[in-house]
Amino acid sequence: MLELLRRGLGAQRRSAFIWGGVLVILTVSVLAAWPSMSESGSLDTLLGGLPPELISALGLEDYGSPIGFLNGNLYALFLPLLFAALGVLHMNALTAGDEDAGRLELLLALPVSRVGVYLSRLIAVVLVLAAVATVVGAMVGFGGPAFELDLDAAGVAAATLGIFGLALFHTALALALAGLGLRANVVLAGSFAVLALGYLAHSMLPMIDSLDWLAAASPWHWALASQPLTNGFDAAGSAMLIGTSMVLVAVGLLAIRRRTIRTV
Amino acid sequence: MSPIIQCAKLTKRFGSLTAVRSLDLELEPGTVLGFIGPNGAGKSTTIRMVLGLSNPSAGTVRLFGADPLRERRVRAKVGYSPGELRLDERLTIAATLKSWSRLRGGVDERFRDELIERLGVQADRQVRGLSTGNRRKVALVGALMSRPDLLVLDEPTNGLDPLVQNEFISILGELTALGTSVLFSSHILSEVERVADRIVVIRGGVVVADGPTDQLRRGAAQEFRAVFAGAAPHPSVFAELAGAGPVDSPRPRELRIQWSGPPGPLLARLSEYELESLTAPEPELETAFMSYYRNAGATTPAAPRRSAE
Repeated sequence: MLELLRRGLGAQRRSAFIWGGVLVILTVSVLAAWPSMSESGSLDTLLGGLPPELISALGLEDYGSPIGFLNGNLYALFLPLLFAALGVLHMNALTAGDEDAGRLELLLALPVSRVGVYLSRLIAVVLVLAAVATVVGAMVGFGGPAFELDLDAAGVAAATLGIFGLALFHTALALALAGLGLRANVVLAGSFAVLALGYLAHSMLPMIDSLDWLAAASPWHWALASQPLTNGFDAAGSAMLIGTSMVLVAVGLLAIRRRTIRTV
Repeated sequence: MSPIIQCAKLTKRFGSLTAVRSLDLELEPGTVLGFIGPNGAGKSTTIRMVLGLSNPSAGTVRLFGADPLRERRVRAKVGYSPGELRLDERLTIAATLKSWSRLRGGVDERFRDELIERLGVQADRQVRGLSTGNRRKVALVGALMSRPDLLVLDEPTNGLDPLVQNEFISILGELTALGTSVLFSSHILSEVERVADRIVVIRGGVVVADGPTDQLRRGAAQEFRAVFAGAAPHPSVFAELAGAGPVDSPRPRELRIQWSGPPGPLLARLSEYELESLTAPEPELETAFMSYYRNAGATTPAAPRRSAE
């Protein structure tokens, strides 16, 4: 198991550094923009003409405050999207991608269990997500004050945990689809479709009175609806994310146990 | 002693295509079994079911008496070199072999290094950029390095140069002398002939012949090459005899006669002519193979033929 985990981590090393670097650059850029934006005083004026529903949908409430600015530029869309994409891409590459390429066959001919291979690879992706989330969270938490952003550390930690949970859900979804035997391109399409539809449900459905209840079915809602930057850790949302992720992982592991491994 | 591999009525369907049909196959301990057939005959599909990588549509597979899909530990006794070889491009050869050693456990590092040297593997090279032959060598070291009880080799010499092929066959001989059993799948008949005690011929997913290598070779049509003192008689003179196969005339004074069964009637007919020479080379497995294929082509593939051992 340790060797499988080591291989899973090794396979992601280069990509993880690139993703980590991009996310750090994005985060620092947003933080660095705050002093000049706040001094200009034009942020609220800029959004004043937009309908409140649209502002809410885009996560731009209270945009002139440090939390509103950070939420609108990082935590409402970009970081959740990029984190989930990182999880899906890595999980897909290590499962369906490896199977499509024919590498899984040689590995599974060794005395290793299929469940062990999938689980170790899931753990490897989760570790990468956790490492990148820790770096980005620390960057915001500790770097914010350097750019005159007065933030609550618990709120930053809770929001970062929320996007980590959202990424975990989509990573588990990719594992489930790969476990069911779908090809890598189908796994990617399915996972990203759920990611996009989840965002639309979370951001747009609250504007439609008859459908607003459906927004609660979105993983984005579980991760972000409680405004964790302001209100801190959301136990119910986290439980939903973790619970559904566990169900998806179980589906993937059960499916991979007995099915035929694809050949090239 | 119970068979190492035991397939009973093994069938694999891919949609409407039946790749393997009601196949019975057994590999006894200490045996080198040649598993031959052209591309698409169902060899690799059978092997993948034996290793638990593919689920049979019907029938059963036992590997060391266990279900290979459920009992991963039985795979610790197996060294496998797949036909379609895909290695992790990101690793060096040394890292690849080290990782396999860790996952397999119980690998004698000195023997692994000996194999690396004998097969001419450059362990410090990156897998990316390796030729087919060099990749094949890595897979062979991986399959052999634990001195497994069973070697499953699917087209193992694909891409290897003749020197490395010889070295590999020599290593294989050393391991089989120590009791390793081998399932050797190939379409290169001369190679199978060199190593196999027993041969199974598969065609369209059906076993069309199964028996000791010598017996299969002897069962093939024998070619007689007759060179006449004068012009050769018309081929039909011999083709009309019972037991005669195709008769060719490669040169004006020569006939090549394919013959099955006791040669008496043929020799009697030949004695009516003045011969300069008559030779009958030892039949090659290839001749037997072609013969089995021609015969099987005329029969229904649903009826596997199994010769007595």
